[in-house]
Amino acid sequence: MSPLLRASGVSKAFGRTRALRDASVTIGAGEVVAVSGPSGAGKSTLLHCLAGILVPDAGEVHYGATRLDELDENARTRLRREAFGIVFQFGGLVPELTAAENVAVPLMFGGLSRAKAAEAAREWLERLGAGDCAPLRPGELSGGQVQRVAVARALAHGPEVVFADEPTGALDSVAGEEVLGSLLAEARGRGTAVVLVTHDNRVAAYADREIVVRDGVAAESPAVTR
Amino acid sequence: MTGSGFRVLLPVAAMLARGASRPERRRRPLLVGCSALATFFLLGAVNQLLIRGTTVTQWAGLVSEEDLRPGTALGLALLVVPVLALLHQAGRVTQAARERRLAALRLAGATPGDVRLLGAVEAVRAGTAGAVIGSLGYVAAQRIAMAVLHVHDTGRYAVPLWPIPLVVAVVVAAAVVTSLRVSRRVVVSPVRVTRRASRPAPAAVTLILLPLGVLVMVVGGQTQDVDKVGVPLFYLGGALTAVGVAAGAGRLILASARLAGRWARTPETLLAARALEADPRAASRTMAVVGLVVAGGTGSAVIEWDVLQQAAVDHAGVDLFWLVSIGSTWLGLLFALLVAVTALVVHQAEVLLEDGRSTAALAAAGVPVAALRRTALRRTIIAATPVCAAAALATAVGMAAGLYTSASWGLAAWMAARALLMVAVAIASASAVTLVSNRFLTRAAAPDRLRAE
Repeated sequence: MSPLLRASGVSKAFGRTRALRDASVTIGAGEVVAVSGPSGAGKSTLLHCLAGILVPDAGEVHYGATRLDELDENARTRLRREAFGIVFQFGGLVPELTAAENVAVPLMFGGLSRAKAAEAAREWLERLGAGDCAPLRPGELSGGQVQRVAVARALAHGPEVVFADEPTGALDSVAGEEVLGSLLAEARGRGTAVVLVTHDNRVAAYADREIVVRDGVAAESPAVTR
Repeated sequence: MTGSGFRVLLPVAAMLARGASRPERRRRPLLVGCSALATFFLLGAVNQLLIRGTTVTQWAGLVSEEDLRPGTALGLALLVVPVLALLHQAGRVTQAARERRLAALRLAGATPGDVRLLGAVEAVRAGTAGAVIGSLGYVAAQRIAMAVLHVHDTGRYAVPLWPIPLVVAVVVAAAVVTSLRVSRRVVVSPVRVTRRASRPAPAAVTLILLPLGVLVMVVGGQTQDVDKVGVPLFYLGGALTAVGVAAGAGRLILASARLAGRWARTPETLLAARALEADPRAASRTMAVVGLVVAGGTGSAVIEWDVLQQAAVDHAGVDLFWLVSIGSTWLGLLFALLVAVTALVVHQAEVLLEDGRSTAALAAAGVPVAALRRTALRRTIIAATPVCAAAALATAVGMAAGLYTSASWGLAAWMAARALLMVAVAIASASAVTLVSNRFLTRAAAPDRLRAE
């Protein structure tokens, strides 16, 4: 599998806390990789560095032929908007927008007209079993529904990589499995790579491969066939 | 904690003050500053009402002429309105962090009454400090002004000592009431902070005072018995119009946001419109004061028209008295506008810093910060435009139709130009302030806000 994302020797510190130390990982196209480890180990920091949200203090992050850590903020923002999708533990939806509008707005920022973005948003919500949520605001949705909308938002523009930071962390096991199932089914069907941060072994078991982060040090496990 | 009362409450308040975060520490000078300004203007108003007799002078007629002092006092007292609006906004800064802290205190055994008292203690401290600074500032400023202007009759004009404690008490009470109002819709339990069910959208009926005020102004201005009926009616109409601007601002903003949301073609406009639609009251608190400034500026145009017409008839320049009076009015309006837009900065900083996690998520998902800045600017324009336009229109119609019996195209053009100028200045000021306060967006969109609490 050709590496789509590659980080080598990445370190990141927040003040005197070294969150990530000399981490080297690769993510292949269409691969589902779990980044696991205990709380505070540096999992989210690694994800943020891979997604170009954070710039590492040392090391390199490559997305295809592009060196992410050398891009300026505008270029990284553009890349995130076009090539990446992101799902957060808390959904990260805009509370004032309806579910459909939450999915449509990033598409509009990508240049789609409002009508076309709204149509695409409705289709994605239907596909993820959240069609009924379209006119509702995040405050009127259950945790599972919020995450389905967040997944729709992350996938709607056809990204090559989806970064999911504890996407089921705030859900019960049934809702969590449903959300994860939807995300992975859609991603695998479209050949989208998924980087899945979790501290839950059951969630990590869904992945093709696992990267364990402990005290800021990342160790890759070999790929498994699932 | 309840049993021990203030013996425990005060040390706890001191401990909380020591452990305050940086935004909270920045909030305190703002509260003290607002209290100081409110004291300064209230003391000025009281001072005006206590001066007796008249000294003949051309340039300080608003203070030295007995008949004009109540109006000057009213003007000074009105300046307290934007200051109180700012105080209210400042009280909301870091509200979420304080609520979480109070929930922790409830878990530690504090009763709901205790946590309310803790909020009041902070307001009393900031209010008292500000009121003392404001009082000393007023006395010092008055002494310096009288020395610079070579006023010999200082005993007549100097503020007596006895009203100062009263004004201080009023300002401290206002600070406490404002502090309690901020958290009136919040229930702090030992396990969490919950907000009471959101209030319904502002009703259309809140707009009724605006046309009613204009109608009363017109009727008052056209009444034959000017002194007994006309003038009181005209002032009543003016007051109703002003209250109508403040009361109807929320509904005007809601209508404007709905319209903008329906026709939005860009994501920035859609985000801005939906945010205002969800909570039009938050924006209306600031925009109402901006609208009142527009009303004041538009209304004063009629007086200026009169002065200019008189000067043309007399073939003389404009009297110094009028120049000073009009200049003072403009200074007052400018100050009110500055305070109102400062409240807007505080409001935006609060929104971004406390509820900015979705902003950070949008930025992480690839929405440029520049687009989020444009969203903030459009939110300001969508909110400010209808309030300022309604305030200007109502005042222009009420003043012109009320004070002039014969149709005058010159006056109509003058009023229209002034109304447009005031609306443009107000919207431009609010927009400029939004652009300045957009620097908070960088912090709101920072990745560290993406971590779950």
